[in-house]
Amino acid sequence: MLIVEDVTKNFGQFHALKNINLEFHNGVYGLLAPNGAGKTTLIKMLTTLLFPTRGSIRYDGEDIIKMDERYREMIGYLPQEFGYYKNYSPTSYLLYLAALKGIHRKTAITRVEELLKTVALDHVANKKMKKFSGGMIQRVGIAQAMLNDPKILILDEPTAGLDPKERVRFRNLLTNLARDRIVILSTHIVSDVESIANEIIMIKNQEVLYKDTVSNICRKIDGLVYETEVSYEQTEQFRTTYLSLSEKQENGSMYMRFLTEDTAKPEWKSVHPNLEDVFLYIYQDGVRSDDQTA
Amino acid sequence: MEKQKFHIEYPTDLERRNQISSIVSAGLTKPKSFPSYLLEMYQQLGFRYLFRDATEILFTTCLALAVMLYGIFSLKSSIDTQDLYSFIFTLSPIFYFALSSLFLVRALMKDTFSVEMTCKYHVFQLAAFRMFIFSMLTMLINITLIIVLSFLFQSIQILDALLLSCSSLSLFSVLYLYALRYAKGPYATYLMMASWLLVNVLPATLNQNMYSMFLRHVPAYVYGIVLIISIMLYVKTLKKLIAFRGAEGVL
Repeated sequence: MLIVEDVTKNFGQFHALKNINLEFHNGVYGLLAPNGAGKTTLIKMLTTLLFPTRGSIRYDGEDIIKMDERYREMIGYLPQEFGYYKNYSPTSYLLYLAALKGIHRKTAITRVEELLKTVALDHVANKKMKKFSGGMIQRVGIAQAMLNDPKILILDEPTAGLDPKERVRFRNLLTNLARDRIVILSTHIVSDVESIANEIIMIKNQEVLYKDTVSNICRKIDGLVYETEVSYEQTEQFRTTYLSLSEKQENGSMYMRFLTEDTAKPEWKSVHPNLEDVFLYIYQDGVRSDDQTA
Repeated sequence: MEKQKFHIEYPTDLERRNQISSIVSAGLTKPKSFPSYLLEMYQQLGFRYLFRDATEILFTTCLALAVMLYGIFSLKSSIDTQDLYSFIFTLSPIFYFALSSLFLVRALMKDTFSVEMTCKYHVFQLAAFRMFIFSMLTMLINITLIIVLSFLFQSIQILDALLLSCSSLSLFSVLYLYALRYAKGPYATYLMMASWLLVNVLPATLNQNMYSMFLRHVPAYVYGIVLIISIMLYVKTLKKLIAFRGAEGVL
C-alpha cells in the first residue's frame, strides 16, 4: 500500500501542491487535472525525483526516500517526455535500462522479447529508434516501464501519440496489470481513464478535490446535465447563459449538451453525466479563460 | 482444586543473544563498503553499460594526449624548467575534468535523465564509478607525461613532479565533487574548472617565478598530507555521490 500523507510541495514562493492525502491499493488510479495543475509534480514525488517540502510518502509503512534503491527496484515510470538514444534499437535500449534496473542479462533478454511483442514492436526490435514515430517511441516507453515487473507502475500522459487502436490495446494491458499492482496514470484526457480507472483523483487549486469511483464522481452533477436543440442564431446567447459541454451540428441546427442548475425547460432532455462533463464543470474557470486567451 | 503448574523453558542467555542478533541482521541492511559497491556495479552493469560512450572516451583520451604531447614538444625550448611545476600543478586535472564532465553534463541535460534516475543504479552512481576510473586513468596519463618531460628536461625532479601532479589531481577531484553536490545546475562543474584555472593562472601571470618557486619550495610532506587528505575526502565524497539525490530531489 502506498500512502501520501499531508504532502506539500513548494518551489520557492510558489505552492505546487498543498496538503495532499492519498492512499493507493492494487488497481488503476487516474490522476485527472488540466495541464499545470500539479499532476507531474505529484508523479515526480511518487518516483522520488522530487522530495516533498512537507509530509511523507510511504510504501508498506516505510518512507520511500529512505527505502532508496529498494523502492526504485519496485517502480516502473514513464515520464511525460520520454527520452531515448536515437542510435539505439528498442532491444539495446531496453537491455541497457534493464541492466540499470538490476535485472540479470539472461532474464532481461527474454523479458525484452516478451515486452516488445506486448507493445507490438517485435518487428522493429533491432531497428534504430531515430526513424520511429511518436507512437512507437511511446510504446518503447511503456515497455521500459514494465521491464522489472513493477509493483507500482507510474505513467505520466502515457497515451500521447498513440492511435485509437493502440490506446485500446494499452488500456486492456493496464487493466490486466492492475490486478496485482498499483497503476497510477496521469492524464488530462478523460477517455483514457474513464473506462479503466478504479478511482479517479482530481486536483484543483493545488489540493485533492475528489478521490472516488467514476460513478460517484459523476453523481456530483446528477440532474444538472441536459441536451437540447438550438438554432444557429441562438447558439452564442445559449453559450453565455449555460455551460456548454459539447456541441454538434445536425439537420440545420445545433445539438447542445450543457450543464445548468436552473429549472429544466420542457424542450431540454436530462441525460446521465459522464466524467468529461464533471471535468469541464470543475475546471470551467480554466476552460473559459483558455477560450478567452485563444 | 489443585492449581495446574506449567513448566516454561526460558531461553538461555546465549540463545537470547543469537535471536537478537539474527533479528537485527535481518532488519538492518549492512551498508556496503565503497569497493564492494563498485564491484557489484561492475558485475551487474559490466563495461558495456558503465562505459557506453567508450569510443568517445578513447577519442578524448587520444586527443588530449596528442595535444599535451604537442604542447610539450613545441614549447620545449621556450619553457623554463622552473615554470614546469606550475604547469604540472595547473593542468594535471584537465583530463579528469574533460572526461567526467563529458558524460555527466550531457546525462543531466538529456530527456533520458528522469528514467535513468528512477532505476536501481542511477546517473550519479554511474558517474561516481566512472569518476573513480577516470581519476586512475588521469593519474596514469599524468605519470606518462611526467616521464616524457623528464627526458626532455633533465633538471626536473621526477618525484617532486609526480607528487605535485597527484596532489593537484586529488585536490581538484574533491573540489569538483563538492561543486557537483552543492552547486545548482549542470554547469557548476565548468565554473569550478574555470575558477581552478583562474586561481592558478592569475598568480602565475602576475609573477611566474614566484609562483613556481612557491610550488617548488612547499615541502614534499605537505604535498603528501594534501594528497592523503584529498584521497580520503575524494572517496568519502564519491560514496556520498552514490546516494546523492539533492535536498529536494534531483529535478
